[in-house]
Amino acid sequence: MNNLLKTSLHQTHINSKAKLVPFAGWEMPIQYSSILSECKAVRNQSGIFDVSHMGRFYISGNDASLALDKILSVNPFIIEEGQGKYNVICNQNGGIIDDAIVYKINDKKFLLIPNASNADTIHEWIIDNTKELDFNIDVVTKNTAMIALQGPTSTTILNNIFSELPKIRRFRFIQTKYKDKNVIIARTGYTGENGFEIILDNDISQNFWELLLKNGATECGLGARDVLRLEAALALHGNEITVKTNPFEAQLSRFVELDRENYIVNNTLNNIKSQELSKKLIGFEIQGRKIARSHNIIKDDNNNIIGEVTSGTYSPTLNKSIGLGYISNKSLDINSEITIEIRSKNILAKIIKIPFYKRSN
Amino acid sequence: MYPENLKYSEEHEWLLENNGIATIGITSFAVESLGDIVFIELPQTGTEITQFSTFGEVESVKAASEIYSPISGKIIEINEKLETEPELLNNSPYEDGWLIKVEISDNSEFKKLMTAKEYESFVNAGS
Repeated sequence: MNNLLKTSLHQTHINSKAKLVPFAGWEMPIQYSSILSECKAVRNQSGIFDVSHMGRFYISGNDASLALDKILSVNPFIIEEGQGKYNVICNQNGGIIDDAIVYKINDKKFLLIPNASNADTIHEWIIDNTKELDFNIDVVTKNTAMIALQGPTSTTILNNIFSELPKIRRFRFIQTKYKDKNVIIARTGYTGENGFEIILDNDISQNFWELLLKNGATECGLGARDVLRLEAALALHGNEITVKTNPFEAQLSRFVELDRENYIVNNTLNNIKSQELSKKLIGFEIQGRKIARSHNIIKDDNNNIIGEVTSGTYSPTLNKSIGLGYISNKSLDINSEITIEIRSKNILAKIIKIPFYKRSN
Repeated sequence: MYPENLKYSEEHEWLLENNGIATIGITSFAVESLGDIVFIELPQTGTEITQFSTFGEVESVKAASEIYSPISGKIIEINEKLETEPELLNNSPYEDGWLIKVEISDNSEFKKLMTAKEYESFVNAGS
């Protein structure tokens, strides 16, 4: 026996013979059939992922907007009701503690989705930095499930399940009912594909999951999710973004809204922004089929160490070995050749444009 | 669950002996723990290899893993199909997914390999 947390879909995963692994304190499916076939299902039809391990915090009260204004890299006051925004949460040095999506239900109620591994840290960070403000944090991670439905057929699948579902634009969400229970459907995801993330009560999650399967979705695990997010060059906290990375070098400046007097790291980030960056995030493609892994060393053509790989994988969609990493040499750009040391061998690679994969519709 | 006619190593390779020639591959247990295999690096024919030393590499989406030879000898053939169809290893580890054929140089080395039954107990003990 172990002390790992289990999502409300745990039994469903066991019934489907998923391979379960410990992940951020939870026992989660890494794959069902195979990572590659699950990736293909998402790119060509649709896949469903149990992402219930991710944090779900309702932040509500008179000062809810003000509290988030202090913490988030985006301005909560200008988010519209029914809109979600990707953002980062930075520490006093401008390092990224986590990335999250914040949904505005109304001026006095928001839903924040941090990563599973950082949820407790973020909870403390908010409390520590918002003393004397009038608001509550209601953590509903364990009472609710979150299912990501991703792929070109995902809109059709949802329309089959919910009659008269209104059109939901990207990064918007609606609140609706399923079996008389409240459900949130957000047009968001982490695969680079069209798709939705659905939050619903634990007691209806299994039934809803099975309904998605009946409508043609394929069960997918965290393994496929990682490959898909990397093809779309979406940052992963712990890899591309860490407490030692600031949002500017991680190419996330479009998610940083400064000149807000309440924002606790406004001046720190303004300062970093005005200075030259010490490293930059690049995407690369390996010559051949070896796969670069996180922490592999990146060198220039004179064999000087210029950086480190943050993520690497084989991309089934592009049939290439790809990866992300940071380099200090800013003169190197798209099409520049670099060398990556993979298990003591120097392997040639080329800097290429990111995202590696962009959907056509 | 492991074919009876093969010999097995602790590094999860199998060997099929036929007239002094060993066909070598990796076991279904190894393949399952690796997951989707996307790349196999093998030496050229003619290369001399030594029992229990590494001669190649298998790369899956999840991890890379070295392949060790269960026997010493000279490589006389490699499975070239694997270069374009690495998934053969996942789909058919004991047949279409074989890796190399080796001219066995020392028959006494068989003693250091396991039977299917022994390998099964070895795997069960480890997991």
